[in-house]
Amino acid sequence: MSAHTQMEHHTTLGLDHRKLGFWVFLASECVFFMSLIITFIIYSGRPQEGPTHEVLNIPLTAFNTFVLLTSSLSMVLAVDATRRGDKRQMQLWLLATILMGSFFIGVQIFEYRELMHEGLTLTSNLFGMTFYLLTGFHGAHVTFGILWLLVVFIKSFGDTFGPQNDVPVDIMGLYWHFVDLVWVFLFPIVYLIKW
Amino acid sequence: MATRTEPIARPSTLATWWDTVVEWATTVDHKKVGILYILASIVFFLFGGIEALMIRTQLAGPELRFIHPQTYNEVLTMHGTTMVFLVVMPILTGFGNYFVPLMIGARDMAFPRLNMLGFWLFFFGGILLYLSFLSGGAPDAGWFAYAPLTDDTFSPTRGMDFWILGLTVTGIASITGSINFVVTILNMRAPGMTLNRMPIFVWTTLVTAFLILFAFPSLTVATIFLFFDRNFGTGFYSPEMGGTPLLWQHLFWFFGHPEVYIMILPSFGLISEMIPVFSRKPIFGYAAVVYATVAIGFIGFTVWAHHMFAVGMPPVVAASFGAASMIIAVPTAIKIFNWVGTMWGGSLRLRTPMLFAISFVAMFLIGGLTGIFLATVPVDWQLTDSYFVVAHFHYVLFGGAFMSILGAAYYWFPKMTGRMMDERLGFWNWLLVFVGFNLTFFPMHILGLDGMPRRIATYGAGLGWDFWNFVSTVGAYMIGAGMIIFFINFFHSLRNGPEAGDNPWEGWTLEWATASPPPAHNFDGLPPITSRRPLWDVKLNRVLTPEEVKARLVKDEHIHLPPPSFWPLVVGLGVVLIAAGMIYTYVMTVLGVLTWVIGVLGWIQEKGY
Amino acid sequence: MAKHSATETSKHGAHPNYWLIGIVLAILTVLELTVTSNWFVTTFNLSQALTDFLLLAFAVGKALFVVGYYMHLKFDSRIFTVMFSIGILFALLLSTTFVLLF
Repeated sequence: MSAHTQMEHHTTLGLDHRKLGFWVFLASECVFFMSLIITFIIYSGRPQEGPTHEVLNIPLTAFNTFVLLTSSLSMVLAVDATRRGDKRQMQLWLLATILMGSFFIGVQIFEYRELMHEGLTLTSNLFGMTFYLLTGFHGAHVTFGILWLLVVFIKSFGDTFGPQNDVPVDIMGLYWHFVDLVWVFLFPIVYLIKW
Repeated sequence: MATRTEPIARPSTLATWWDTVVEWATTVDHKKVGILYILASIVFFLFGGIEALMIRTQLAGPELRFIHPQTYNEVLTMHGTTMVFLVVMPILTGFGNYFVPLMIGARDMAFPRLNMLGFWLFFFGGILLYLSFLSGGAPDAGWFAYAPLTDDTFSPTRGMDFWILGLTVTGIASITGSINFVVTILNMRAPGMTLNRMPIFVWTTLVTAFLILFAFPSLTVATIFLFFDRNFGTGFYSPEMGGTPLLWQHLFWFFGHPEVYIMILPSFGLISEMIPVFSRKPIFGYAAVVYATVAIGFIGFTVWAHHMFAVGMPPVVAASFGAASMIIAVPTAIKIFNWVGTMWGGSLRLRTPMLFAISFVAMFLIGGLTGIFLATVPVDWQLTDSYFVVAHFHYVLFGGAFMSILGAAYYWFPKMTGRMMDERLGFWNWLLVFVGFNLTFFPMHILGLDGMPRRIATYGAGLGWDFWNFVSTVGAYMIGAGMIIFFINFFHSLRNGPEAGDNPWEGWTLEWATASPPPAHNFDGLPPITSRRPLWDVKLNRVLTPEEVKARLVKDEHIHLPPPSFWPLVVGLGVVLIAAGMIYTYVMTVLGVLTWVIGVLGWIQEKGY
Repeated sequence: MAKHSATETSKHGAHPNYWLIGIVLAILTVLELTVTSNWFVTTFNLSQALTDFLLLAFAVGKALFVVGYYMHLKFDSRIFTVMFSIGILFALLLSTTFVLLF
């Protein structure tokens, strides 16, 4: 590792490679999600048969939104604890984030089942296909984030992360907040606004 | 610095042969990764080239029956897809991988293992695409795969699924590669190598990396929709379900037009490196070339609908896309002016790289001018989907990008192998390719104006197309002959070429400051960088005498190099198995997920980036 | 070379009140739900367009808090902000032109 800690001090911009690279990746993800969002906006406004916006369970999703927002809070507290070198707090908040993230996914699966009972499926109409692909890709990102969090959590039992090595947790946080950020837009765009 | 004479260790026994394979399969050295990119691209180039010759043979005369129309569609689609995604893009990535770290004075790329993963994903993605020929039929809807030609009614084989998944996998490779380039270029420059002093090839690679990052996501989304349409019964592009094929066109071209610049900008960079060296003059208007590169990158995102004028759009929209397309000619013209300005008054050395570079400027100019024709909406209505368009983009991509790649191959071969390529063979290679290229593609302008539609598998006699098509086919075989000379030259020079020395062309960028081929750690030490031309400064005693530089070289501190890693291969294999499983059998997907998980776990256990 | 900018060092020193920001985010979400509630719509008789505008404005506000504080862009190197902004810029270019085209 010494080679790389040394390398970090020699970067041209004084920034960590991984962090710079990750921000660049997130910039690319913006266009990815925007392509999905814009398709949803264009298509859900088109005339179509079958269930659309009205079958969405807004109270349930509102609750889920709070859960995801709170998981972002616990994530940032985990990053903060890492920087302070407080291992116990870091693990606690990582675990809280994992649990809330899993809860979010659980509720989303439940929501999908309910919606399918209402007749909104992937193939029912334009609203169905755009809805499931948009929220589904967000859900896939959350799921990936949970798995990543689990790895970070397991690795945190060793003396891996701390003020000297906070970047892996920091980047994990950036990912998690980005996924939350996407949801910040998805919730009003998909659930609240009738296009 | 001693010159190494054996470029690649020649294995004698099975054991050393295996060692070599393992060494190259697990390497994280940016130079080896670059060579792997280039070699794999050359293999795919052979496929794409054979497909091109099949197309030209079929079209040599009216109503020929050389290949079945369905085969023709497949070959046509694969020719375009291969040349764009598996030849031009990765070979430029390969040059970038090899030379960007050298040019900025770095030891490696920022993420060496990610770099290797990118190679594996590109390579496996390409293989997946080509497996379609053995699995019931290749993609057959053209390289831009317009809906509804791609749906399961009009394209009933699994070919389009191979196309989607192959492009997705290579797309991931492009994204990881781009992140790597951005971080490397911004964050790993040697002391003194300010942005303002970077070689132009590094600049163009940087801008291209951003283009890839923001263009590929929309292709990924578009192909995901298509995959769902074909396999899960959605109707994103099907009017029966309320969708519209236009969505595909917009999402595709939002990617597709920047893609054109993704292929041409690094070529501009290559040209901007070669022309000054062979004119023995600094590039004329460095800042103008760099600003023009950035401008092309931005404007390149605002012109995509010019591919769709014939689809019909409000006049204001068509006019603004047309105007933006013409505006992009301005920064491009600035560059051409700068290249000509560089040559003007220089003492030109017409070595093979320079021959290709000058041809590039001329041919690309023609391609650019026909581009302005096509940006004019009424003209486009007349010419769209005709051979005029084929002529246009081959002047840009073959006369442009491919000429620069051939030039760069001659220019950098000595650095990569330690040996010079043969100049006489090089001249014949250039002559045949240049004349053959113009014979092939110039008549297509005429054919297009005469109304010959593109993509047709054959045509009737007596339409006035026979003669020019025959000329075109003759030209295509001439290019083929030229390329055979290239390969003869390549293999001959690899073993028998004269030794190159560190700096055979008297270049001034940093890659020439080290041995040929460079050692694993790239530099024993770096000359001080106080201008855009560090080796000139050394030569002209502006900064330090060579002796002083040498003294400085010796006291360079100990060097850490990342160890080779097996995991990029495992992760890449996992990804491609997941993709292949979506076509063949879900068992493969499960296996792929397992491989991927094992690969990722192994990856994070290793230290380093 | 190795120029450690002021932002880099202050990064570790900055401890915004994350809980407070969490509460602000929650309040903004409640506001989103409020302006779409039947009660609000009937009482204030807002047009659909205005409601949608408010919703997007709240979302942008929340996003700025998340990006600025949770993702530390406010305290981190400006280069990260530039990188992310380029992404947003191209995403907005895509969305606005697509809305106009369809």
